[in-house]
Amino acid sequence: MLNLSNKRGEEIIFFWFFIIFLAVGVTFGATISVFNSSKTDIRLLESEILAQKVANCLIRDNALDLNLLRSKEEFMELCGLEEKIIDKSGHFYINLTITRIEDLESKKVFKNLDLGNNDLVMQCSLKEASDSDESINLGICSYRRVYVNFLTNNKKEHGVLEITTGANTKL
Amino acid sequence: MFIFVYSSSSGLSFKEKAYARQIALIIDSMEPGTTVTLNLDYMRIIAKESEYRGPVVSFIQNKDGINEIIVQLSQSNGHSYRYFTRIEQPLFNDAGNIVEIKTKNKIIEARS
Repeated sequence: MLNLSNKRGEEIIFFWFFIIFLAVGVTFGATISVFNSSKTDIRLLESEILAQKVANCLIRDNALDLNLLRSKEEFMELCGLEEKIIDKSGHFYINLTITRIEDLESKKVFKNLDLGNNDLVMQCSLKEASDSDESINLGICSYRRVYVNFLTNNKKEHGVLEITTGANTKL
Repeated sequence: MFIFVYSSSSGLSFKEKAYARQIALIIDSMEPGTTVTLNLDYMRIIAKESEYRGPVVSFIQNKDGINEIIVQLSQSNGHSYRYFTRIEQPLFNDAGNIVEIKTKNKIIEARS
């Protein structure tokens, strides 16, 4: 005889119904999230803005103001950048390298300033070398190379200012 | 999960994220000593449609001391995003639909 009051079958169906429903929901949510993230990825814009901002701050009438580069703190303060975010958050990187014209071949650096998470340099190199899906979470960098004049001991010198900025904020 | 899927598909969480990042980019692209005035009416209309009447944009300092902007268009927690430019305390008008953002101008003071 069949036991019509046995609810075991219903429980199994309900369990699998729940699993399928959960899987559909998670897939749907994840798809929307990934799709929207791709449209709000502003890492390149942030990196470009930061590079331009640093260049605008340091260079005036093609002359580089070395007084702004006496210390990290002074540079950040005078250029209107938040130290806690740029230098401490781990999401940004700024590198400034000044090389005299006569030292370009020997690559002897006259002045160098490094701020933020320098791991971003490696991330940017990897990202630029690879276009794979895994590289989507790596940082994005921007570069500027500007010929500038600057004064050292009241002597006018010519050189190259190289600005590297990187950003890797949450997607 | 249902709230997340509904919120995502209705576009509110996306709009909060997009507006927060747009405003952060506007702030970050400002030169020292400049002012920007933002009209928040469009965001307030969206918030009104979702029956939210609180402030749509607010500026806070999080527990790590990092300055963030929060855009909230519904009863959810909204979306926060940080900006790296030093600004003065933003000024809202009485109606709360206009905000004036001014960057600090130490570089101009130092040069003059």
